[in-house]
Amino acid sequence: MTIEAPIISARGLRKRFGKSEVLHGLDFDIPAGRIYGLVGHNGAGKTTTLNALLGLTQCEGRIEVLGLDPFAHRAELMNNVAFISDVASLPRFLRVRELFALLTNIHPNFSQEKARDFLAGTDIRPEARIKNLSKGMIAQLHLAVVMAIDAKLLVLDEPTLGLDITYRKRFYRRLLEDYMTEERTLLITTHQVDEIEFMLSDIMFIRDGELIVHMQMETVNEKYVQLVVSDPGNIEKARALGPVFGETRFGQTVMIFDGVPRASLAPLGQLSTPTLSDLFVALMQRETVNAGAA
Amino acid sequence: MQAMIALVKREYLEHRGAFVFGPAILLGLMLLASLYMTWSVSFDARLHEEMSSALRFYEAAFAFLAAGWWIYLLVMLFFYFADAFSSDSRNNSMLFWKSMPQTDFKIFGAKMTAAFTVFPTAILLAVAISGVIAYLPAFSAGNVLAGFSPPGPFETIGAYFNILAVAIVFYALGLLWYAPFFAWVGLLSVLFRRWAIPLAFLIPVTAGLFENLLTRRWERDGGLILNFLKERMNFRFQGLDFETVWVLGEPWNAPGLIVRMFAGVNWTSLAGGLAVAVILVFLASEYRRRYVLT
Repeated sequence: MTIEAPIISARGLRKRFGKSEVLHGLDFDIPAGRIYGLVGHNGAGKTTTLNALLGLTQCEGRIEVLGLDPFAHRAELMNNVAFISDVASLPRFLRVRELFALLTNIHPNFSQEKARDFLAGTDIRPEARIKNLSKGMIAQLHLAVVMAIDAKLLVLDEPTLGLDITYRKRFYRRLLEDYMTEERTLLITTHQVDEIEFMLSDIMFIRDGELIVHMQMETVNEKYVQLVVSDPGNIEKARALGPVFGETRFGQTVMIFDGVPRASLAPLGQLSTPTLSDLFVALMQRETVNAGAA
Repeated sequence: MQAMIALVKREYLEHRGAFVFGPAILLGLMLLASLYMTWSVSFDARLHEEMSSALRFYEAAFAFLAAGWWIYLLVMLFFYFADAFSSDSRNNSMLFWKSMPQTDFKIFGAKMTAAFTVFPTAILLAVAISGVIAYLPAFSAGNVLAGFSPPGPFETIGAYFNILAVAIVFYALGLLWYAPFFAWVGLLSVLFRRWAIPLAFLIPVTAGLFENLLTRRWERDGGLILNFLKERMNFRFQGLDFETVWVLGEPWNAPGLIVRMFAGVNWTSLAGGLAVAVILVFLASEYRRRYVLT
């Protein structure tokens, strides 16, 4: 049996901006063929982590993407990595056909035919100037561009920011249906975690520059349990089992447990698997600089 | 090579306004003015005293236009370098270009290549067209002025190609001569974006003033920095002064003039300047690689 090398490997990943350290020694491996969600609050270090993986910023520690040091070999790495970091980042002075022609010569793994196919069914015309496209159309175009790149790793940093729900749903559906294969790895960050939950194979929660959760979604479903307690008499019994989070919603007490057997919780109320957003809220409780929990 | 050509084409698409559309408009205006002069303007009789023939008038007009386009090219390239080296930041496409498998040095190399090949070629094309347009007032002067006759086709064609050949060599050598200044503006553009324009002058002048304050050389020779810059900003050929050639009424003999131009260039200074230009562009690309993300 051979163990396949991870597509991304980070050890002791640290990043400082001036005196402030924003990544505190992250260690993680990402194997090939997975769909990873990197989730965290604003300023948690998600984009900095992605920038480190993409060779856009220099960090302390050891980091390898597809066997390369990304900061030293960014251009070489980009032959096999595609990323969308901002939906508005396409060069606005170009027409769509000019963009495709340019990419055909600049990117050895870009297929103009595929890009045109991906645009079928959209309102984007080849003659259209990018600066005249709507935000949603630019997102569709950018997605068509990255999907037309035969890359091993696709990194999406808030790719649907500012788009309406229709575009967001279409964006992820096309990504999943038309792009993902077993050979490709997808790493995505977004605040709209509920919208990507269905497609994720693994999740990483980052809080204040530290990874606090890194596991497969199946493990999340086994490990975390949400309990809704309707009977006030069971609340104290449930609290005694050590929930990682609790709150009151519409007169019911909702608690999330980590690693507590379902059999122990079942008599106390209704059990379910917490959604990623519930889990996010539960695990991301933190003290803010100004007094109070965020 | 294919990628480099594509990147140069990108520069053309992004900046053709200044080097193609602008000159095209000016040529249109020039043509209108020439047509107007041909039919409606009477020439000053003193012209007869200053010009020995209508051909001489044509040569003067064409050479004057070539000099005007040279100044236009220098000014536009100055603004091009002040803009192009930071345009990816300005139009928010930095991360798109960084997602391409091309190094920052190559991207800046493409900008330099465009600035020294495509754009001067466009302006030289404008020079060539100007030479055709300049025939109209020469033809008119030949008809109107007593003792003059319109320049003959063969002698006009001869003068046309002689002046054009001299202009091509002059432009090529002149651009190579000024390469370090353009690279300096490009570096400042990466560092300070739009402030590159005033800083391109302010920094060397301030350095020169400080040198004078510290060394008290002002009264003697003005200081090393300002003297060097004054010398280096002055593009000239040792032993060849075009104004003198003109005053003496020498014919435009391109082979002879080109030989004198090549012989009169300070090649050591030119080569040193090119080396400085490469270093400045490399520094700019390293800064962009390490620190510029948006």
